[in-house]
Amino acid sequence: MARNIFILFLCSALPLFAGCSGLIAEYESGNMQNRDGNPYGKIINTSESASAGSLLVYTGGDVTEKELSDAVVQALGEGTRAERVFSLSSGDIETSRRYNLHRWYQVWLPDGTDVGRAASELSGLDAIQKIQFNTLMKKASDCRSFPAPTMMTRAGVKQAGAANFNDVYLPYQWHYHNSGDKTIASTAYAGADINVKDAWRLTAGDPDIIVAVVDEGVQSDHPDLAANMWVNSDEIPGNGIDDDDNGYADDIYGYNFVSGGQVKWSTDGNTGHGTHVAGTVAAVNGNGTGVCGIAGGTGRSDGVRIMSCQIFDGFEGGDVATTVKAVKYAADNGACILQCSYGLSAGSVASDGSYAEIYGAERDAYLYFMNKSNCPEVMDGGLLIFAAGNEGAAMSAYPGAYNEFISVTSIASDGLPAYYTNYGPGCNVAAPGGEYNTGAVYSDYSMVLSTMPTESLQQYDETGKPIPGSFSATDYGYMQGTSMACPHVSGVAALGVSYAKKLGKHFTREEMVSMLLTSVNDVDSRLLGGQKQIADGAPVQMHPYYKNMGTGYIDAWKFLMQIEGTPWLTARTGEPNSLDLKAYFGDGASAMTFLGVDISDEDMAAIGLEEKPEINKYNGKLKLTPTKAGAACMTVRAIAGGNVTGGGDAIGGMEISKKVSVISRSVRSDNGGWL
Amino acid sequence: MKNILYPVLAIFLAFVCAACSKQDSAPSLDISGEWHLVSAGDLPMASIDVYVSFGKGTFDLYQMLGEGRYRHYGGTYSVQGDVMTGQYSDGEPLGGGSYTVSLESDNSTLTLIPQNDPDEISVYEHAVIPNEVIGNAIETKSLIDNERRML
Repeated sequence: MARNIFILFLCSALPLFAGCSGLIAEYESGNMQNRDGNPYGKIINTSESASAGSLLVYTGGDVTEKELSDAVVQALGEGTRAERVFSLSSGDIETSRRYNLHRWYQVWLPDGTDVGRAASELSGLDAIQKIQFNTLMKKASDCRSFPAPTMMTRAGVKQAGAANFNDVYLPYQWHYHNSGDKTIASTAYAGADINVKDAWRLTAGDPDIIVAVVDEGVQSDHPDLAANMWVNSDEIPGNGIDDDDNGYADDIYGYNFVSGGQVKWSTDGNTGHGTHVAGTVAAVNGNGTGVCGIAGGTGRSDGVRIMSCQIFDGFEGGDVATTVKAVKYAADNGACILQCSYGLSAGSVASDGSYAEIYGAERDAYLYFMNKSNCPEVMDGGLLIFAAGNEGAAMSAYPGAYNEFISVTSIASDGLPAYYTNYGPGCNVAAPGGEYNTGAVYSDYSMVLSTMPTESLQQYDETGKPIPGSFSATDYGYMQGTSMACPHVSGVAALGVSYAKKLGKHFTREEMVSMLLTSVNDVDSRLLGGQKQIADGAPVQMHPYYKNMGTGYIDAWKFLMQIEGTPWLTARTGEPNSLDLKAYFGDGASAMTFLGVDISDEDMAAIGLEEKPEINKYNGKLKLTPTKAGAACMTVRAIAGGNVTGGGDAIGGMEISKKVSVISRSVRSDNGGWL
Repeated sequence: MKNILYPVLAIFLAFVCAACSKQDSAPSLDISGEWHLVSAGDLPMASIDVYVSFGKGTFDLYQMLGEGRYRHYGGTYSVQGDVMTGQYSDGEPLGGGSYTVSLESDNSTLTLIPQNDPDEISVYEHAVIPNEVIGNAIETKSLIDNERRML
């Protein structure tokens, strides 16, 4: 018996020892994590996909840069140095301190240093509270580009719709107006677009609205972008001096946070990703050439402005330290929309709480941007818009998945989820991102058409090897990905902010986000029980995407209409009513998850409600029984994307709320007419 | 021949008599013109703005309830005596069923009382519908079908 107990003890202890040795090895390599994905001790993330040359550290209190540098040299030897991640020489110092940006330092390591071991050494310093590996972000596209139609091939493609502007490629931008033309794809679906054609009649942008494109460098002298580039007029180009004393020399159209100085777009390894994204937001409209941008103006220098915040340059950059500097720069220099077609790998972070803990520097920088009011006459705070990711994963990648940021999924020209798009928890809204094999036929035309650098760039495969004879499209080209869907939402957001400014309307950031995420067309009704064909692939089942693509696909016209005002709902006095909430929550309202209705006693009394209104969870309709004529307001809360609200230990949708106005009358026609 | 003539004559006389008897009843009110809603029972008017134009058997309604843009509805109507009936162009009946209509002696004010709620007395005054209301209105399904985008 005793021997059996001993064997049993050995059997149970062996895995424990094995586990311990693994833990030691993981600690040494910096990969150690607990069950929730949070590393033990001061090291808050893993070295997986981390940049080798530096670490981020979070200090306690007000340690000076020199004190910390001395300490890290003592711990790691000569050649090591510490410098603040966030410049405190410019921007909002008080807000920087509120988000503890002053406590983050980047510790530069000599070449060949083992970052895992360096992190272990630094964890022994009292001045340091957290150590973060400098994780690399990835672009949400395969970065392959394909040329725009030539004069020879153009005749083969019918116009996608009547053009507002004279830009020659507008008819090929089905993502703006999709007529269902089968030359785009055999399964092209009319209306699978952002519905911007009519919206352009109300506004096409405003030069006071700045969109920061955090990406590869944007070609600032591109003929279809130059007029809409943000220009730092206080800086003298090319003199190597920080003329405006904002901490950055030669930041004319933005800044190259990878290698310093002016933005570059044609270094070997660049792909045109940033230039493509920028064109979707604000390529110049009405200039008789190239493509249109969603908020690119009318050709009278009245488009929104693009600020190029370069975090990828060739094979370099994309790390957290580079990114957060770019984000703060965007906030400090006037951007109110942050366009981010990049992210971490989906699933590498399990919850909002983990993200806040593991990617503290990044999260803090984004919150700094979010709370900076650079368009104060229109909106309190800034909008952060991210690509959901292209892994086909059943969750959004972070940072987009974070509760307060917008994560964009991708639909194809058939109005259905693109084969590559991430979907599920954390995803908030969909937009056209293109798909090269929609309808079982390969076609460039079914991807997203936008601006490309005017120089041809060598293309590389996923492993970084050059693809022989493969070069990027020049001037204009097609790309696909949630990277391409994301700027559609940024562009629509920029259009809406421009329109609010034009109308003299002001909103809170939350109101603007709620309106944006509910200005949508329904996706879900086509996802139950169906499948789609793609070239060289098994049919893709649609049911997994049901209620997982966000609130629906973005609609520019609806967004502008919401900014103008939202129609009152009419209830018939003296009988139970079931009111459709589409006008408030978009075409997908019937499938949305609602959290409840809040109404004051005064508003209850105004229309004689004896019971509080409720939402029918099966059809998303507002149930109420007014007993007298009058008008009342109530707040309806819902989840934008999925069934669960994100935050804390969860990854999920964003809670949004809308003020719903109801008028109670005995006279009510089902079409809403007053008579 | 006589056998045919008498019945035809009888039918003709019957029509004539019927027409005479109609002419004897109260004349139908002529509510044609452009009107602007100024009150609607106890409803708060702060966010309600309605214009209606009654033409020859058709109406055009422009309403703005809280939103930032007028919506345009169209339909047909008729007035028999002082009772107005009608329907929207999409076939939807008027929400009030039928309406009792009355006009001030100088035709400056039109009052509509819905059959299904005598308390919601709507008072309209003569007013020219501004061009910007008409020009910027959203067309509703009562006017255009199969059109997703409307301006």
